[in-house]
Amino acid sequence: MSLLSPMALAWAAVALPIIGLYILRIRRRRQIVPTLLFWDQIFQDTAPRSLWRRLRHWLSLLLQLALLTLLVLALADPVSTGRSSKPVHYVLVIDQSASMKATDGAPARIDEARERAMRLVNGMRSQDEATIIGAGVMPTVLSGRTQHQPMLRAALRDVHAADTTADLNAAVRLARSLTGAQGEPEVLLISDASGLATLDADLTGEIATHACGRVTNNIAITGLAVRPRSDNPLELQGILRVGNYTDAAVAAEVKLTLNDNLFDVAIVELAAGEEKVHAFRTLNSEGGVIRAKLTKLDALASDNVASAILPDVGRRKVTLVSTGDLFLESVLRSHLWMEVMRITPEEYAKSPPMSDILVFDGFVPEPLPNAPSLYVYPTRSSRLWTLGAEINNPIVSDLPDDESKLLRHVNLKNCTFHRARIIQADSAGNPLITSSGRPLLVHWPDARAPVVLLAINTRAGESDLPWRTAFPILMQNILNDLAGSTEDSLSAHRTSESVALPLPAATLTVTDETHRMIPVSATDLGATIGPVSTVSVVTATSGNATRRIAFNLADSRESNLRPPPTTQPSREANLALGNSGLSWPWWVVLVALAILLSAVEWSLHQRSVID
Amino acid sequence: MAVFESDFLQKLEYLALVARRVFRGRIRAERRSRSFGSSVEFADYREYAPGDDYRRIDWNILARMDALLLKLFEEEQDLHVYILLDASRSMSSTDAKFHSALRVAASLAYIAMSNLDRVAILPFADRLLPEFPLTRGKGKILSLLEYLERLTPVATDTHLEQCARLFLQRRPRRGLVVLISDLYDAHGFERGLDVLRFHGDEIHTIHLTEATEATPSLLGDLDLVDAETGAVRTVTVTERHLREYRRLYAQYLERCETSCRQREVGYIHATSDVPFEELVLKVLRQGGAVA
Repeated sequence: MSLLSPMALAWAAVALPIIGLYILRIRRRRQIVPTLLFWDQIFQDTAPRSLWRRLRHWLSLLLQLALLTLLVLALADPVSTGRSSKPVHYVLVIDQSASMKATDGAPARIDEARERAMRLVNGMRSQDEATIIGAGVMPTVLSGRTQHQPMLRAALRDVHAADTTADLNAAVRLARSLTGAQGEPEVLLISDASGLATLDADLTGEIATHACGRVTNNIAITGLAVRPRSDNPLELQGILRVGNYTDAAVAAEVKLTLNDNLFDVAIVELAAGEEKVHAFRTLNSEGGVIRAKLTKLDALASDNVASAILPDVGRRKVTLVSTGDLFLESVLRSHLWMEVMRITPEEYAKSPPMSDILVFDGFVPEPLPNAPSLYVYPTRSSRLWTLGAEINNPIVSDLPDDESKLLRHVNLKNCTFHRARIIQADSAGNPLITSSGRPLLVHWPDARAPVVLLAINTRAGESDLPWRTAFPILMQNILNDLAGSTEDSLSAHRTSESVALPLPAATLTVTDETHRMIPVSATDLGATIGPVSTVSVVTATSGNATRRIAFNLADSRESNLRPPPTTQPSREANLALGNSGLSWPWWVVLVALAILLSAVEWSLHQRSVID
Repeated sequence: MAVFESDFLQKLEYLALVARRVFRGRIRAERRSRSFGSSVEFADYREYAPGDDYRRIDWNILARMDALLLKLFEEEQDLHVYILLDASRSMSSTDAKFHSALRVAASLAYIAMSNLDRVAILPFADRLLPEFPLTRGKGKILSLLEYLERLTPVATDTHLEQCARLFLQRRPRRGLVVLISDLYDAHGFERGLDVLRFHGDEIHTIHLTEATEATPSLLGDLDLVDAETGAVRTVTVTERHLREYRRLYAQYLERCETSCRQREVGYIHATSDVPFEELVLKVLRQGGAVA
């Protein structure tokens, strides 16, 4: 224990007038009365001044001196030995993840966290400093290092939880890296027990922690995905994942709506702690929003709803410009959502038709159309590629890129190609299949007019590809890509993710369902959105182009409001600003004791005159 | 503060007039004595005895009945009013109480003088103090007031019985005794009343106290000093004690009134904050103290 203001001890001199006044006070007043007859009767049975009454004066003096001692000590501002008079740099790391929105705190966990942090700030001495870090997907410094308590309090008032996950380890490492003149900062991590369980082992012993909230049951939608059937995009296949984070079996009722029209109510039977996937189907051709919603509310609202975006899947017009390829035309016609029309190159040259997708078989128009196009076995060079000599029996030397959407589920092993063109694509072209470095399949992923070039001759007798199952799969992938039906546009994203949009960031406006602006980051390929702070369907607009993206929490770790059994409770003992009395400096305690003593003294005085 | 203000005499005259108007026919200065005298009021006959005044023989009776009878007439005598004024230390615990007693004594004396009665003021404590002798006539009121103004309480206790005996030895004849006191007598004021009543005097008691004596505001550690005896009692007074005090004091007042009524002694209790005119009228109306 040391004193920060030892000069204040001089106030102890006040004891002298207190003792003087006490001596004056204990001198009894002399009161002349007409007669003692009545007083004699009153006090004839009891001692007029009992031992207690005589001692009461001394006790009163002792109480007054003790009161003075407490107040003088409070003015001297004592600190415990562990908390020296040196300034301390506190770093408050506040978990802003979705689980902090759970309403089992005061009233939510984030409110409890804010209150806890506020107590620490209020207990800071004038020379102490503090930094506030918000732990979200990325750690954010909410208030820089400062002694100015009003600024810290204002920053704390603005702390809110988001519907995202939080990287507590990154936030704590950032906090510990804020070394200043005072040496290592004292870090207090305020999270919930589930969040504390994610801390790396090397960090747990280094910082103080405070766990908000309590063990709370929760049922959550942890996933929603919808996709069109590959052969018929008008039919949607969906999966819904529901988690039961309680100690009992439940039957979760989920309402499924399409553009706010109810089309299914799923009852998902779940054992305690179980996550289960529920599949559903529906038809859609106009696009919109499919939404799953738990009918029963619980402590965490963010995971009670999930959304997914459906694309506008109307029938697409496909024009096949060919002199006649039965296999290619049959593959195209096998897609129910494709309306295929075949014309000859001469007809095309005479009058190019309006079409959603153009497929050129052994023919390259001049100039290249500004529309999604597939070129099969090109016959001449264009602005995108330079045509080389023909090669025979090319062998696929490089394994296809599994991550490419065009080659998904395409197995080209043992395929025999008799003839192909040597292609030299420009820099924008992305070769997907090569033979000894020569590209056989090239993709130009342009947002408005993607182009795919297949350098292989697919006619019968020139290749066995038409007989392979890889052929219809490859053509379906290519047509899906050209139709713009990417997977991203068909499903949903986590709020913690960043979604790239092939739209210019400068003219992009993104708003959520409450018309709140969502920040956009510019990238080389366009813009990115996210992480977003709330579960919502956002609308991105750039000129005439509009795109909707669904963001869901979809994180079982955030939805599970029951801490793992191994989670330790709050560890605040190693924080110099106190453990249970963290926010109460000694002077506050002393003043409180002084008030208590005042009450005792007042009680003694009252007893002496009222009895 | 002066005991008698400049308009005190005017108030006394007013009281005398009011007393005369209100109590006409009931309060009279003239009193029929039990002795026979030479007034015009016939009383009785008795047989002549040698030495009797021939002028009182009823000659008509002698002529008709041949008997010597004397006509007896009632003798009218002045009423003697004795005001026993408590001048013990307890009466001076506050100036107000003693001053009120002096004003009441002066008022009653003036009213009596106005009715041609004789008035004496006898201050007492544990003994009789120098008195204002029996005096008649309103013209002596100034000297009476001067006497009262010089009167100061003595630092002794009250002993009414002893003083009553001394009074009875000194008084020339029976009369009306008005006792003005706070009745704080450790020896018992009832014994003093018994002594006075036994000797046939008509007694009226005016019990004067202070309002603060009934409801004292003493709290805490105190040295209580008895004003009369000087005895000291060290006490710690609490609210509970004050409640007990008020109860005892109420009992004491009740006892005073009961004791007086039982002895056929007129009793009036008043606190010193009651104006003396009001108190005197109350005395006249309720007790007939100077009737």
